[in-house]
Amino acid sequence: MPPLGGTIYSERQDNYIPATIIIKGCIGASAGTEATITATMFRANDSVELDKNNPITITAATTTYSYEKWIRWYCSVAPDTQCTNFKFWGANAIPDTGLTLYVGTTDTGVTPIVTESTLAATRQDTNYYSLATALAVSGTLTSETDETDYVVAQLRVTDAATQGDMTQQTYNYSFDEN
Amino acid sequence: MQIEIQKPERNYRWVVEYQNGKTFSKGEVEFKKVLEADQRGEVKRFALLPLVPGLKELVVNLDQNKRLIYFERTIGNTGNEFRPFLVYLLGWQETIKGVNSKVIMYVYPNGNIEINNDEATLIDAYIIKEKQNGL
Repeated sequence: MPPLGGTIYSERQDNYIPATIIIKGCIGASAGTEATITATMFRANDSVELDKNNPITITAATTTYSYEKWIRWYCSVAPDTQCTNFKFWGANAIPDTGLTLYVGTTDTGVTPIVTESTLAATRQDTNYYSLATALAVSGTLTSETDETDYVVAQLRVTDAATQGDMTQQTYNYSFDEN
Repeated sequence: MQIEIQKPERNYRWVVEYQNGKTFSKGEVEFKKVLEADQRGEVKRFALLPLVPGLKELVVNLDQNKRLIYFERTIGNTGNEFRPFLVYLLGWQETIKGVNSKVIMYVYPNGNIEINNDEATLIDAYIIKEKQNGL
């Protein structure tokens, strides 16, 4: 059986346009105000801005909480068939002493809170630290404006934390398209 | 302003050949049509053709009992520690004596192939290498 490529397709170009998937940050009432983001800042206000306003205050003998950060994946150019199997994970270590990230998912938008989250209730670094252990995010995107469920993340800060900016953290994601 | 997730480089494109001899490549027919034809047993073979030098053509031959599995898995990150990349999932599903059976090739950007009947196991290791390489 002859190879498909050498005889038939060697002159053809890859003119296919893949889906365009965007990450949205969701704030406000029912997490209903969405903005495209490439990063997020854990702090003490409900915002998608990347400034250093409203830092989290370290309080003696107490755990302090960032505002919940709500994100989801959004389809702006539709795939041929679907984008699905969305996953989210990070490093297998806490961001720094006294800092722990908690995450979770939900299909329902709720106004972000700055007290202990019941949605972002699972430690990321000990549970979602590789593709094999990643947090699965429901959602099959087939058309423009389709969105996944939300990932809700919250930084918990104990009095063991040190003052100053936390170093930038990287979180990974994956999804399957066809 | 709309900021898109950085798109990974494409190292392969797919080509399908139907039982009637007609062939189409990605962009010439919607993939959902390929899946529909496959459900009818009309797909003869499905191939990944390299778009960059050094990679090899990969072909899955199908028959009436084998159903095509094909996805392009985007692996990305929020901090630009590594360039997003694609892992191509190519294989088939078959029911053998009532038991669902899958064979999937996970094709990495460098042409390495992992064959598994379930999830890939080497993607995390590949990410570590990509982080070491940087952007």
